[in-house]
Amino acid sequence: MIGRIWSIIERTQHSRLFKIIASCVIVAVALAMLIIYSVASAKARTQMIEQFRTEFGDAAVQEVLNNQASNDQASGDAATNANSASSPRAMSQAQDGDSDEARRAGQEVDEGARVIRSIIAAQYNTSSIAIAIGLGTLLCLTVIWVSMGLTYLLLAVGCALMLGIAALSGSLKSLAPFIVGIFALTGSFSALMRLMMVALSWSSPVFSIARNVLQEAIRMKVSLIFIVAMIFGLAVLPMLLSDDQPLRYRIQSFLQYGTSGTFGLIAILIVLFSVMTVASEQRDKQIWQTVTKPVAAWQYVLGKWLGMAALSASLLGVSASGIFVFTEYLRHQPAQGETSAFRASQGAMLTEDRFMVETQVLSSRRTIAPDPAPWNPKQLNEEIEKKIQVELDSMQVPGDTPEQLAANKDAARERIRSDLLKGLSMSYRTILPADNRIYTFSGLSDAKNSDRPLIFRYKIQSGSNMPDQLYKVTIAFPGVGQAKVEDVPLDQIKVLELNAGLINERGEVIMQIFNGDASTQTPNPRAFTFPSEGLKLSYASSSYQANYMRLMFVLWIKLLFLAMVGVCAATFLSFPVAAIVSFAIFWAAEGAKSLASALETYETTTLQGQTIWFNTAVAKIAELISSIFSVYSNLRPTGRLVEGEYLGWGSLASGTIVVSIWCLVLFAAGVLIFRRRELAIYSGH
Amino acid sequence: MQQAKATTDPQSSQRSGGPPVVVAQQLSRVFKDFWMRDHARAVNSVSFEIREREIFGLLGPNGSGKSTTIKMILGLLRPTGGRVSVFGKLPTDVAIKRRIGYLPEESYLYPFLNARETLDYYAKLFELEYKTRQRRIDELLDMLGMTGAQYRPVREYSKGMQRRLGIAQALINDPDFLILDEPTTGLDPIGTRQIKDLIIELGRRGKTVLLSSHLLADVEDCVDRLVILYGGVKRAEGTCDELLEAQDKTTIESDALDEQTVAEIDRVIRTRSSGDNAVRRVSKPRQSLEALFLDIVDKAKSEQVATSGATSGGTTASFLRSDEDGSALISKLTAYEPIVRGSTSSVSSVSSVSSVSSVSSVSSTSSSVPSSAPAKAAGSETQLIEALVKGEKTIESQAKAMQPAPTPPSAPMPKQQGVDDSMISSLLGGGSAGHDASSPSEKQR
Repeated sequence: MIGRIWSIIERTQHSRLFKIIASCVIVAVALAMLIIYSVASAKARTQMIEQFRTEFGDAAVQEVLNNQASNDQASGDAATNANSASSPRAMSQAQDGDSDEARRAGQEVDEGARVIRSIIAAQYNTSSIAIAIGLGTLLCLTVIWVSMGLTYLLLAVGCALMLGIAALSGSLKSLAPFIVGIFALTGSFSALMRLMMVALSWSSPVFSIARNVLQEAIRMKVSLIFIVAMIFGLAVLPMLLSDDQPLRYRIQSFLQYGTSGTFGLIAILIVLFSVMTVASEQRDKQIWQTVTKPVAAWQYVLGKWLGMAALSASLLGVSASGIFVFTEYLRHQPAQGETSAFRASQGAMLTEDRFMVETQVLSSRRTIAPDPAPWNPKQLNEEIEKKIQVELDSMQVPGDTPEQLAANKDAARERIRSDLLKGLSMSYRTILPADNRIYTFSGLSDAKNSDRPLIFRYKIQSGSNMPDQLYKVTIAFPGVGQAKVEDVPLDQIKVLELNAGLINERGEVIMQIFNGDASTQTPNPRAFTFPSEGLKLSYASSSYQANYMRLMFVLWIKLLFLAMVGVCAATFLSFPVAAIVSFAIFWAAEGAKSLASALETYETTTLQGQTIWFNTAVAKIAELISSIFSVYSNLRPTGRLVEGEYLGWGSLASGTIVVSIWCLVLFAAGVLIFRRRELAIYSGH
Repeated sequence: MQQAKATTDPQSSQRSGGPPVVVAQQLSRVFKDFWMRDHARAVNSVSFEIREREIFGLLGPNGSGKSTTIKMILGLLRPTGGRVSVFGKLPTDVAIKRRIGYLPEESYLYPFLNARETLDYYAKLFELEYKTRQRRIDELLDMLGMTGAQYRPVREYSKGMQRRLGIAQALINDPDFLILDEPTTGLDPIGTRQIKDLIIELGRRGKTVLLSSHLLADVEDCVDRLVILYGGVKRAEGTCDELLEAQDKTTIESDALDEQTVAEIDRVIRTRSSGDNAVRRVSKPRQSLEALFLDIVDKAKSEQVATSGATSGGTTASFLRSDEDGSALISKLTAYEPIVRGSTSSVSSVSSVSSVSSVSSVSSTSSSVPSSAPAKAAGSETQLIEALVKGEKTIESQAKAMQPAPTPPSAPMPKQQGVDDSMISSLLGGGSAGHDASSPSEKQR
């Protein structure tokens, strides 16, 4: 009976008529959802504007309506109008005394209103929802046209049943994300894999081998375990987030663990499987029946890599979609201090938590480091020569020939220059008690007209960085006449929002930082230092969604590289050796940035100036590794996603080109080696 | 050990007109250990040629270098000495692989694919179109009796079923040159019979086949020429007849004879040879075990007894029997067709020195095997065409040749040397002339 029903289901979902009708229904439902959402969001926007009117007045409301009419012009118009149309609060302050302070206070209020307007505009921007609906529609159409429509409908019914059971047991709220996540992720993965199989069904050696790789991935237990673990882990992760935490931390935790966890799992699977699919065929001799067909070596290697590329695209596509959708779900949860999403319980329209979510977490920010220290080259060289002389005097041995002295001098010159520059850079980032330093951040012209605040991220270190110590740090803006005094814990990142009005006509922000409270002339007990990358200014650039897509693309590029490493290593190495080599390369590439940071403080000489040869050798190797993989490691997709950091098209293109070149080199090496292999002799024996 | 003569089988030479398919000259292969010292000399200065359209046997005990030789032909190993060419090109040339089908000594298949997917995968490596692929897959699965199990994963197959699938993948591209390394390993007698018929069919169609085996009976039935290896060295080369015929004996087959008649024959032989020759042995021919087995299976099939294993399969796939566009059919009808080899008949005979055997019954078990019937029928038709072209047979013999008799016609026995025709005539009372040319002869298995 069940078999008969199933065969009816199979026949129905394979029929063209069913596919056409189902597709029309899906598209109609998607359009209806989009229309309903647009209408509902317009209504909600109206309510927000009424609340906004109460706080900021009619003129500001008019700006909101003007901005909502054209999202593309929102940032520019808001910036212009903000300067002319003051809020009631600003105007009253101006009337009170028309003092500089009152004017500054008014400008701050205007700036805050401008930011809030843009956040509201973003909240009710239908682009995110349209993308989500579009992706869902595409998935449904894919499922229908690969003849799995009714199967998925049955899965959805099963999911609904499980939700019903969870509701009856009273644990719907905690289990719903998990249940829906499992079904959605499993269904998405199956549909994507089916689509990949269809796409690779051309009659050619490369595509045939690639398709075989996909079939092996689905049907072999080893890979299936990883896939199940990834789907399960991603579905369970939301349940582990604590509702007591601020929303921004929950979102950041989910992004951090979700992205890094799934990428890590997928990367391990790709490395292991790409090695296994080639090595096991040689060990078990299935390759004999492939290479005795008209299959060139390059076709075999390319086919294996293409199969891995398709597998990684499917896995990453599923996890990226799941992370994106659930992040959007979290975003529409109440933040700290809100009764519902984007609705504060009392006081300001947007709580601090919501503000940080929208401006710092789910954002795409360009980061600017301060300009380097303005050293005088002539003065720098004089300093270097002085130090060289002092050092040579101390290391000169009686009886040294002039040639020996000259050689020592040359060797010392580079070392001293390097050490001196490091020291100068360190001292430039160090501020003594009661002292101050001026830092200039350039290249901020694009941010001048942005309606989002600048984010100043900094970290100070002093002594042993006691966790309970707080230092006073005064941050002043000489050109504008503003200053803030902050209580800063040691060795922890501190974030400060600044308004874009601080940017001067040259596109610079000039910042003066005092060690201590400048207003009360109270210095801190010790000097503090900004570590490397401990001073950063960032501004919003591009949308979060576009940045997210670019970062996911970077992850995929990395996986493609790992796949090529695995496939090419396995052309001439046995499975365990190839796996070890591939993992070593993977960890070297991922850890190159940390390696470069560690090298800055790695000593290769004793205090007396004697070379430690072992350390020197280690440093040379580490330098080589970090330089080879510098482009790879600087991409940092997970870190950028969590910190809301922008990845530009230029960086993306350069990273893609470099990784592609590596892949081509590895491919060429793999093909050359494979052609020379005597496949009837297994290297593992 | 018989030394090979440098003669060629007239039948194979008439079939092969083009350049040789495989030329091996002083071929050697030495395996070295990790320290690059000579570890094993698997093949040692072996030279041979495989001509176009011939069925070539590569015999030898285990470890004689058969599989190593084949691997060098296919480019899986590089020779350490000498050289080998396939279709005039190096074995590593990718283009020639389109014309080659290879069945290794074990069927190294993907355990996670089913039969259909396996054949589809290999078919795509040849860039076959979808319709061609599907048709060939259907025909091959049907031919090898795998249709019922085509959707089961290969890991669930028995060894024999895996072997059949391996044979199918070797045939998917309708190769010009087929290399079969121990093809009947793991197959039941039905499958073995089927494979041998298939090889003969392919040979008749003009394919070149390299058959490597240590199962001598399998090779003897099929090949035109063979090479015997031992210790990596070629020990013998030639046709079956050259290598196997006993020149000092004669076998005569007749209907059942009583003792007195046998004694009379013995007396005649002694008289004529002045006592030098005599009847050495008299026995009744036996049906072979294979023939009995196939009979039993055939009977069970006719009673429709159920089985979950592979069935005996259907007819040879059409694309293997003929060109798929039918253009070869016309050429086949007008071209010379070789006489069917005696391997398809199960015949018992007695060899003796100028002796006559008493044959109580002659039966052929091959006629009860459905898979061989088309081959037999095709053979009969071939002979008919031959007769029409050459006008050698009478109408009566033509009619006899067309009937699928229990005792199918086989290759007419070459004229036995040392046999006195007049003696036979006198024994049979001045019976039919030309008896030796037209009467069937059956080899004892």
